[in-house]
Amino acid sequence: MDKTKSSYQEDKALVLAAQKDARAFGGLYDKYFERIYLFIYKRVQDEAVAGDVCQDAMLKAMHNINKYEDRGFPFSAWLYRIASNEVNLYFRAQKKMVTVEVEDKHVKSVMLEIKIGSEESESDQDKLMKVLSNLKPEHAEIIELRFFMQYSFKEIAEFYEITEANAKMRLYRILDKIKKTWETNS
Amino acid sequence: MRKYKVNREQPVKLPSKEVMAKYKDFSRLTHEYDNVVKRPKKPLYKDKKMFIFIIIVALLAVLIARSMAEEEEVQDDSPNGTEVTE
Repeated sequence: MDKTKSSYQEDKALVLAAQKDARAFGGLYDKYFERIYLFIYKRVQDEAVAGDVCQDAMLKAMHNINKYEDRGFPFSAWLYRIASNEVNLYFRAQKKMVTVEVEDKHVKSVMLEIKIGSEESESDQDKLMKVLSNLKPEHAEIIELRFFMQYSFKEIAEFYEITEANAKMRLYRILDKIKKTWETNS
Repeated sequence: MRKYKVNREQPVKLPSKEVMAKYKDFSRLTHEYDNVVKRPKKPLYKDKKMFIFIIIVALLAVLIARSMAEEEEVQDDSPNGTEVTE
């Protein structure tokens, strides 16, 4: 997410222009398309699907640009949230199970954080994947942001438009839930 | 529905700029936007389903209003404004 002051001012001007005339949304589209596409791609891991979901997210953003309110968070956070909702909608709509690959180093980092199992054990890693697969999409989202996409707490806070302390609390509650599920399953 | 799987081989490759450019199309977006915001081609009274729906809603509204008016009348007729229970 872009954090510079000049980018914030630039976004403000682009948003104002798009609110006056939807066709001026092109400025925001050009600026953010690639970042949003990559964000979606990392979660769906399919180029064509990422392209479609990105287009849907941009369409929603363009349609709802008048509802956007500047609350002091970067405009990109609003876009990322729309994109994330679209990803969740995509997964919900799938009748077949969609497999998302997670690098083992990221799996290990989750295991280290919640102190469960042995990070080197493949069966423990697979077991954790099962627990994560059963999480609600909105719960899995924060785990993906923090551990699979390496977001800082500041970035997570901006994403949800909450404070950093709340972002930490939200994450640790879900990690706690994962730990409990892991323990009941063992 | 989604299922996570551990990738123990190569890290997931990110798409190149060329691939992303293939999906970047603002004119398609504006076209889709126009489809979303433009007024429906058919006027409401020409849309059969919508017309029937509107008639049903209107009928229900009339029936509810009538029954409410009847209830009020019964209450007004009864002594001390209470309902006659005979």
